[in-house]
Amino acid sequence: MAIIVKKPAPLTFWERIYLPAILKGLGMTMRHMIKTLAGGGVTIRYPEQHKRVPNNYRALHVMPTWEDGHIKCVACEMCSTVCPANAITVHAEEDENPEIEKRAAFYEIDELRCIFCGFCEEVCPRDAIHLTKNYEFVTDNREGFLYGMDRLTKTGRLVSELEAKENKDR
Amino acid sequence: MPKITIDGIECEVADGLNVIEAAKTIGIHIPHFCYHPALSLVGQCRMCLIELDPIPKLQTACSTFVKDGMVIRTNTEKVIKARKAIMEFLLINHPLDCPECDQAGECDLQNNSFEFGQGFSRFEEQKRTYSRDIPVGEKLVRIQDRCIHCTRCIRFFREIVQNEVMTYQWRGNNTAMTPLEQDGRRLDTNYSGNMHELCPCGALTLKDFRFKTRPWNLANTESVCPLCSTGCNIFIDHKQRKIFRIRPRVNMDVNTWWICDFGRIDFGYAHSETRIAGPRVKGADADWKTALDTAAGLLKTTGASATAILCSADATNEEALLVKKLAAALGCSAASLPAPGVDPLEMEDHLLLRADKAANTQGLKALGIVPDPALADKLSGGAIKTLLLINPFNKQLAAALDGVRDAVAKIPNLVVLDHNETDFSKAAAVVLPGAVWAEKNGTFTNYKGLVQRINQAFAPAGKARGDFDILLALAQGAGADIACKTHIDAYNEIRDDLLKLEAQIKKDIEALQKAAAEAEKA
Amino acid sequence: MDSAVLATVILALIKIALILAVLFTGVAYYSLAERKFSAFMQDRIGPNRCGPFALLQPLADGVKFFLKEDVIPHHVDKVLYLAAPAMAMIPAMATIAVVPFADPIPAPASGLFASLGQIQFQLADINVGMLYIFAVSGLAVYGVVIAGWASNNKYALLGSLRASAQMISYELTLGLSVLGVFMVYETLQLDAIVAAQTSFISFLPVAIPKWGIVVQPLGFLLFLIATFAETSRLPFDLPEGEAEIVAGYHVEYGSMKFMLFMLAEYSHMIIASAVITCLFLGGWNLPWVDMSSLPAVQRVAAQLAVFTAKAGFFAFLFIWVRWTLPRFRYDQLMRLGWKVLLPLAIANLVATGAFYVVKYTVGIG
Repeated sequence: MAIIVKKPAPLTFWERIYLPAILKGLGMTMRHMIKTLAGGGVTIRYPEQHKRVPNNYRALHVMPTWEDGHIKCVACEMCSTVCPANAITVHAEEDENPEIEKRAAFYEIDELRCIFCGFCEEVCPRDAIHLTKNYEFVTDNREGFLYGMDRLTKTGRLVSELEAKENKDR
Repeated sequence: MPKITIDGIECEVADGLNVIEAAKTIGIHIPHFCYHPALSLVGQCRMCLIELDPIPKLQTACSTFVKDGMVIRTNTEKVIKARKAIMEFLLINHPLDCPECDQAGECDLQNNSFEFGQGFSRFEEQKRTYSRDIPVGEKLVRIQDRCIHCTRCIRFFREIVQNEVMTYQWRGNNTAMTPLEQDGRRLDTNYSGNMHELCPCGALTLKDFRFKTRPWNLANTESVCPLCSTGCNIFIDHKQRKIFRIRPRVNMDVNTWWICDFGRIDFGYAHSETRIAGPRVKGADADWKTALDTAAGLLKTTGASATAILCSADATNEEALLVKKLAAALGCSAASLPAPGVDPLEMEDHLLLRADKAANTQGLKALGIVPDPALADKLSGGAIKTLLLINPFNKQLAAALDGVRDAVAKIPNLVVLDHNETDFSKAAAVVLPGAVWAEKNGTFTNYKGLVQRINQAFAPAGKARGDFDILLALAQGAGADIACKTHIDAYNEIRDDLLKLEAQIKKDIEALQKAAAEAEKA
Repeated sequence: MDSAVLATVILALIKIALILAVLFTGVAYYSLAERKFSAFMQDRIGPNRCGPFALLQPLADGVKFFLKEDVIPHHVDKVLYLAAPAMAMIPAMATIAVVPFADPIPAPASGLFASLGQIQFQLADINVGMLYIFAVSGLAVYGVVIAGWASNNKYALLGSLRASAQMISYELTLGLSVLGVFMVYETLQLDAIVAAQTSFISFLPVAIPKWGIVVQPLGFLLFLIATFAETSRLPFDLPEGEAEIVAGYHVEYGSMKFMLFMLAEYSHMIIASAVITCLFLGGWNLPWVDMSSLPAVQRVAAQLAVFTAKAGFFAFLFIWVRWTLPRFRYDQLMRLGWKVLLPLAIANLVATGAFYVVKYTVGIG
């Protein structure tokens, strides 16, 4: 069976000399330029300005503590089990308080391995790990991305700093 | 052979089975907590309820024995509803502290709740709690809050250990499984560790394994316990080249469901500080090639009459074969002990523990490596100038060498192949670091001649190598032409010898039993 | 030495220094302007880190180019490889010699320059003007071709082949399209062409300036298009086509040598803008505005400003077109050059000639 190829209509004279189309194109780039100069650009001047991230944004972890400073984590290893990137290492130990019974002796998240899926937060039965909105934690060495318990319990402070920045930029 | 119908499937099962076991033969799982095939029936957890025609009420599967023409239903609406009710009832008082609980992941209560429970509770009151101050000894941790009153522990200590150290205390809702006061409230029997598997919830857990890791993180390697001649079947649960715990593996011919606490807890030597770090020649660190060449050279220097090989009965059958071939190449003798050995059949208690503290006495015997009482005199008299000492860390060999300790240490050409440091390895001219049982492949022959496979769980620690490879290199260095390059080749070579021995031992044991029975009659 | 000769030489040296200083500064800020305008047309902000409005950005770029390691790949033809950037740069600098920027001013009455009579805002007022520009800018292709050849790299060679074919094709159009302008103004000298554009078209009832763009609209269009091709700017940047031949002829160049190629390209654009301004847009003059009555200094300032504004518009046009049109395919480029632009240029030439034949025979205006 013959296939009928539908040919496009032949170009008109004005289409063939291209000049009107070129002028139209020039007009469009000019429109964009004027819009940007009038303050309509989409760029955020990052170090000075901060993007407002949505509330379900997932970045650096935090390990909340109780009011008395005792860590909430009971080292059940659910997070390290569910972690698809094997970023979490947990070792447990006996807590002095028999009511709490178990606590983390060693807890470390390798933020370079972490893919920020949030499964650890979702799986935690004790609400002991959260992902904050703080995405500003770059350092220039690999050790700097190994967040142990001592740092993870304090990352809450970084979060409030970030929120202050966001509010300032608004 | 009664013919029964379970869930519409007609089948013929063995006589005298209860419904749980009968259903198991055709692959139907009936959930239960208090029932255990080794223990007496109590039928008190009510989890195994089934429908039995034409009885209008539900029956417990554990205490119902099969009869010809029985019609059993395990998945009707009535049964499912009853299971949900039982699960809710059990979880009224069970604290939902799975995150802290060591049992999580291998917990009958958790699994059954997940599979048969309803996922919510209507109970709004305070859960009952118990004091945690009652001491239970060094082996177990008791958290009575989690107990679901299955009484497996009470029955286990009464019927299996035959040491009634646990009983009920209080009544009704407040019932507790409590260690008895007059025993100092201690559960330190030789078999207490088995409660780790037996307890269906987390009320009794193993202190040694407490909070070490989660069970789902562990790899399980099938192996055989090396600590006595019983040869209990075990799982080595390990992670990252480290043993975390030993669990019994069911073998009705050997250890049934249990292992003793020595086998369960005494694996520390596999990871101890005293593991030999690397090969040494005259006290200085050396590489493997130098060490093996030096050792092979030393073994040939003093002639057959002044040379001996002494090998502990912890060697596998395959290693024993190589020892024999090495001895043949050197023209010297190979012995398992320098003194009379212990009877491998002699029991230390009523259940599993045997007096012979080596894994493979019978296997070595089958290959002709037997105790040589004359060797002790030769050693102390200084007649032996060259000695290959294999695994003096073994308790039995160490005890037998006690009298000649100084004499052995003074032997000029002492070559020691072992996994942990001893006085002998410190005095040796050449030290070759070997592997512990969890790091080797091979077979052990237990007290009644049963040949059982051990599997390598992980590679030897540090610079250590498998004993089989070391002995192979030594034998080749000594000029022996050895065809079997792997443990499987070696096993094929000795299989007939081992089977012959098994038949022989079986006959011997039967004769012994007969004699004992006759003596009793008389 | 004759004092007149000495004055001429010194004045020429001063002019060279000034013109090159302005040209290089212009190139530097032209590159910044290109980055800024590119950003604006793409809804971005562009460079904004170096100084206010990123005014120090060209300095930073220059310092970066200077501090980069000066790599000479081992597989290149070393002599030609080193000569190519210079061969690209020299024609770019030389062409500006004949471009005038303003009307001459009278020389100071006393002193060294008094003997010269007047001071021209042009380095060399030679009567072959435009021909000199064609001659010298035609040499620029050697830099590109030699760079591609010396790099011993297939992409560089392809780029230089494309460049030479493209330049030869479009140089024809470039030359033919401007012939009409010469016919109209009857001179090749750029300052004379500018001066001729101050008059009005004689035979029309309304006063329309006799600018090149008015009397030679087709010539202007062809010249503009050919200029884009000659400077290798989009949509005719086939010699560099990043997507198909990585970066074309300068793929093997880095640091200062790469900077010379960039300088040459931007100088070409600036000079092209200036030449178009002179040829078609009346140079530094504005129609209906007579600046000759102003005092000399103010007049020159005004004329330079007008000239800069006109040339600046064309310079901006180069950027504007870059972000509007995509790159041609090679066959499209050739077809456009040979089958469209060249016939049109010849037609324009014939039409202009015919017009003058008619004009002189019939005697209009």
